[in-house]
Amino acid sequence: MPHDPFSLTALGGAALAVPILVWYLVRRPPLVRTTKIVLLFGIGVFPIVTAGSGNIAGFEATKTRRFCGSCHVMTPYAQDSGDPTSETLASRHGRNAAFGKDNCYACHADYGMFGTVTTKIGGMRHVYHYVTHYHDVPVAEALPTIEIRRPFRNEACTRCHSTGVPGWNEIGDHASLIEELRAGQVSCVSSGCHGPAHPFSKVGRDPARTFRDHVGRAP
Amino acid sequence: MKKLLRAAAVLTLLALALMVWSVLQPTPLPVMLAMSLGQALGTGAFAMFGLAILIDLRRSRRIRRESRQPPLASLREVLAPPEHESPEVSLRIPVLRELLTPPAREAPEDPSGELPAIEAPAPAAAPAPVADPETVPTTDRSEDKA
Ligand code: HEC
Ligand code: HEC
Repeated sequence: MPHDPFSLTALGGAALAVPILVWYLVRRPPLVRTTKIVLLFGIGVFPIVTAGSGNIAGFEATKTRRFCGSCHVMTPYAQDSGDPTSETLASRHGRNAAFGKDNCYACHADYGMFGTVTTKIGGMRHVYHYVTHYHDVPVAEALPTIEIRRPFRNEACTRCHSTGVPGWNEIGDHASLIEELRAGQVSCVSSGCHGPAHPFSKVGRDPARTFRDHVGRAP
Repeated sequence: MKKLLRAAAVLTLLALALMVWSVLQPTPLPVMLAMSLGQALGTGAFAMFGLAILIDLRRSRRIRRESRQPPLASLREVLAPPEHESPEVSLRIPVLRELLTPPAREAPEDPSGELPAIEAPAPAAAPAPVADPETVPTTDRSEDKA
């Protein structure tokens, strides 16, 4: 049972609309002015309340780890993130109260003004691949084949971990690599630095390298 | 039209069911269904409701109008000439007529004094106010506005 206000409002709107609709369908009242007004609430006002808040609730739901982990090939990622004893970078980002339960989205959402939209479009691609291919593939078989589509961008880390604070620059590797890091030539999640982020990540693959190899320029 | 409303009610129930499902079980399938199909069904149902109310409104208006057509029609012929033959269309709306009447009333050469602004264009309209079939719907609408 959800507790957030949007889900509750959505359920409340539906709870008000359904009795009206059932009453209309069962009792078949004559179409007098009162019936019209009652129907306006049953077909219009209350369902619109439900749709409005339900969409917001649905949108929020798409950011949660629970949502990401609901396709079976993502369940191991979600389990690792939810495991308080795990040492992976993703799991260490799954404990913060502010975004811990949305940690997949916190790291994997696109950066920038249209980030939310492009992330959702990217998400539809995931759904497409899942429905057309991964749906029937066992987890053990799927994990080695799942790769990140584009190299992980450093902006996804630096939008939270500013490169402008003294503490960050006190780290020797940060200070010496700052230009390369900002230009995306060295990845924050290279193995040996902070990567890999997941236990299943393809070890030894440098995300920045991958991009250069494929496209011929730095990300 | 009853059928239209019943269909709208059923579609709304379906849309609500999808929405509630997505809220109670926020996983990809229900959430995507609610935000696409649910949205479409709900919007469609509301549009059908609007259509049904519109149809009903027009029908009841027509019935009311038909039931008092003859006396009104003759009264209208006296009060206001058909739209396309009158240069002062606005005179047929009572409020505007009130506003526009005074200056005409002051005209000394007018003997009747009662509704001079209307009578002024009346001669021009005189030839065939009733014979023209076009005039009936035109004047009817003016009656609704009033
Ligand atoms: C700390 C940020 C972070 C969090 C939190 C995070 N990821 Fe990742 N993820 C990465 C990075 C970085 C990569 C690129 C590969 C690498 O270096 O591990 C990646 C790669 C992936 C890949 C590509 C396959 C692979 O293993 O390389 C998948 C799938 C994935 N993440 C899913 C998830 C899911 C599901 C969650 C939530 C349970 C999640 N990620 C949470 C940073 C994160
Ligand atoms: C949504 C904001 C956010 C993003 C995105 C993010 N981090 Fe973090 N990161 C945090 C916060 C907050 C903490 C402190 C965690 C805590 O105390 O719960 C943290 C902690 C860390 C730590 C220290 C963990 C420890 O065990 O001490 C490292 C290293 C780190 N982040 C690296 C990264 C890297 C690399 C990326 C990009 C893949 C990244 N972070 C993306 C917010 C973020």
